[in-house]
Amino acid sequence: MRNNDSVSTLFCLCLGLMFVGGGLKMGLGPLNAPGPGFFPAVIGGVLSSLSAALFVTVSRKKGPPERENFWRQKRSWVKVFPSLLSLFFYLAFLDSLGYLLTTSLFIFFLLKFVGKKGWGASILMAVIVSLGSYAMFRMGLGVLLPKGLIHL
Amino acid sequence: MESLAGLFYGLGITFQPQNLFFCFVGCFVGTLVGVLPGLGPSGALALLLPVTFALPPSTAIIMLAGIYYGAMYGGSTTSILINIPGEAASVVTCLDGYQMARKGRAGPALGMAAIASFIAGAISLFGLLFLAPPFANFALKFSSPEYVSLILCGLILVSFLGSGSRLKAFMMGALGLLLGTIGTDPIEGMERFAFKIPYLMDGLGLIPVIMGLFGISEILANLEEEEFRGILTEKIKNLFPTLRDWKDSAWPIVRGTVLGFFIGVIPGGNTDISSTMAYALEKKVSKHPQKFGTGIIEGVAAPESANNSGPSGSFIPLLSLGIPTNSTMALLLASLMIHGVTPGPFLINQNPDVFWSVIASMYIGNLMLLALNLPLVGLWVQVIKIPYAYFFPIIFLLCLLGSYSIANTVFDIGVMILFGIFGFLMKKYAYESTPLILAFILGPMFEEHFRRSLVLSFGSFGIFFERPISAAFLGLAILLLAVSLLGPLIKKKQFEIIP
Repeated sequence: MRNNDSVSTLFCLCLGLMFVGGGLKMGLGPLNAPGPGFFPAVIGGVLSSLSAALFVTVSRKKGPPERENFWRQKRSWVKVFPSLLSLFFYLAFLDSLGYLLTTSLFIFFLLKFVGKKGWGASILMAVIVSLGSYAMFRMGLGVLLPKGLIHL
Repeated sequence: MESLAGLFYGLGITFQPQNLFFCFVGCFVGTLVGVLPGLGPSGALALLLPVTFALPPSTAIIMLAGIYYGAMYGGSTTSILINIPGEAASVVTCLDGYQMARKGRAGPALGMAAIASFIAGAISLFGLLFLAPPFANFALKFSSPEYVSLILCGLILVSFLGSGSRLKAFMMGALGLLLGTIGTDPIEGMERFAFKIPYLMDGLGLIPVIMGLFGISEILANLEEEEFRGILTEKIKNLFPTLRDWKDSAWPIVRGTVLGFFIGVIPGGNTDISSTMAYALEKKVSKHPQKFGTGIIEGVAAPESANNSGPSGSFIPLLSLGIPTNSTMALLLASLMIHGVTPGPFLINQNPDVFWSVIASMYIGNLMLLALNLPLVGLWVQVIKIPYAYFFPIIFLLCLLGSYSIANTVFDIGVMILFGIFGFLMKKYAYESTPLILAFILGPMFEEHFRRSLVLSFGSFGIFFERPISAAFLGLAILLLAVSLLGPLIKKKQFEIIP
C-alpha cells in the first residue's frame, strides 16, 4: 500500500501544481473581482498541499515497504487488458467501420476471448446484440449511429 | 394541508398512462440493476439518462427516481441468495440474509426485505412530503455566501463520512473541483484548460465521466473476480414472514426507517452508510446481540428499511435546495437541468408538476416494487443464474452508446474510457469516487457563487462569517476538518501517554 500511495500522491501533487501554474498564467485578478485563474490556482494549491501531506505521512511510516499485488488474482490482467483494448478498438473504428460491424466484432471478441464462450454462442450473441441495440437506439430512440460500411 | 393538496396533484400527474408506464420501467430496471452485481444505480442512471431526453421532465425524473429506489429492493435478492450484494447498500444484508437462506428460510428473508423496504419507503415519503416545502422556504433566504458555505460543508461532510482515508477523500474532492474548471470560465467566458480542443470548451461531459467512473471501472474490477457459482438451488417458499418474524422486526423497521431517512438528508449520507449504521444500532440495542450474523430476521429488516428510506431523505436537499447529497442525486440534478428545470427553492412554484409528481410517483413505485419483488422473485433468481460473461459486454456497449449518443462524437467515448481507467486505478489505490463526482458537479456552482460573494463584499472574506446561516455551515465545516485532521494526532498522543 505504501508504494501505491507514494505514486498516487506524487501524481496528484503534479496535477495540483499544473493547475496552480495554469491559474497563475490566466491571472488571479483582485480579490474584489477574482479572475478566471483564481479558483484553479487556489484549489490546485489545496490539492498539492494535501498530496504533499499524504506523501510525507506515507514516507514516515517505519519498516520496510509492504509488497502488495496490484492484481486481485494472479491472472486477472488476462481479462482486464483485452477488455480495455477492445474499448480502444471501438473508439478507433466506430466512425470508419460503422456501428453494426464494430459492435458485432466488439461483442464477439469479449464473449469469445474474455468470457471464454463458444464460437456459436459468441457469434449469435454478437449479431443479436448489435442488431437489437441498433433497432432500439437508432429506430426506437432516434440516436444517430455511424453507418460506416453497412448501410441499413 | 398544502402538502396533501400537492400530493393529490402529483398523483393526478403520476396516474397518466405514460407516467405510470415509465414509473414501472424505472422500477423494473432498478430492480434488475440491483440484482446484477457490477452496475449500481449511478451507472444505470447515467446509462439511461440519454433515453430520457425525448421525455417530458416529470416523466424523465419519475423513471430515473424509480431506478434509484428500485435498485435498493433488488440488491437484497443477491445478498440473500448468493451472499454477494447486488449493490453497496445491500452489503450488510448478506450477514444475516444469506445465513437465513442456508437454514432454509430464504423465503421469509426475501419477503421481509421487500416488505420492510416498502414500509420504510412509504413512511419516509411522509417525511419528504412534509419537510421538503419548509426546507424550500428556508432556502429562499439563501444568497451566494450561503450557497458557498453549504456546498463547502457538504463536500467536507461527504469526505468525512467516506469509508476510506479522509485525506484521500479531501484530495478527490479538490480534484473534482479542478476538473469542473475545465472548459470556459462562467463569468468572463475565457477558455480554461481546454487546450483549444473544441469538444472541451463546454467542459468534460458529466455522463461520460460518470459512466467511466461508475460503469467501466466497476466492470473492469468485476472481471478480476472468479465467476460466481454458488446460488442456493432449493425452491423458495413461504415468502410471507411469520407472526414471530413480524414481532421481531417491527422496531428494527421503525428505527431503520428513521435513521436511514435522516442520513439520506445529509451530504455524503449514502444508503450503504445508513444500512450499516442501522445494523450496528440493532445489534447494540438487541437483547441477544450474539445472534446477529447467524441468520436472524432483524439483521435483514433493519438495513433494508434504512436503505429504502434513504432515497426519500436524499430528495429533500435536491428538490428544495438544488444540492445533491450523493452521486445518484447528482445525476438526477443533471437530468433536471438538461430538461430546463432548476431544482431549488423556486421549484415548487415554477415547476409544481415536477416537484409533486416525483413525490407522488414514489408511492406508486413502492407498490410496483412490492409486486415485482415478492411474487416475481423467481424471475430474478433466474436472472442471477445467467453467467456474468454474457452481461458485461452488454453493459460495456450500453456505456459506449450512452456516451456516444450525447453529442454523436467519439470524443465522449474517449473521455469515458480515460475515466474508466482512472476509476479502476482509484479503486486499486483506495481513493473514493463519490467526493470527486460531487465536487465535479457542484464545482462550477461553487465557483460562481464564491466569486460573486467576493464581488458583493468588495473582496472581504468576512461576508461568509457575518451572515448567520453561512457562518453556521462554515462552523460545521471547520469542526469536521478539525476532527479529521486533529483526531488521528490526538489518538496517537493518547497511545503514547497510555501505552
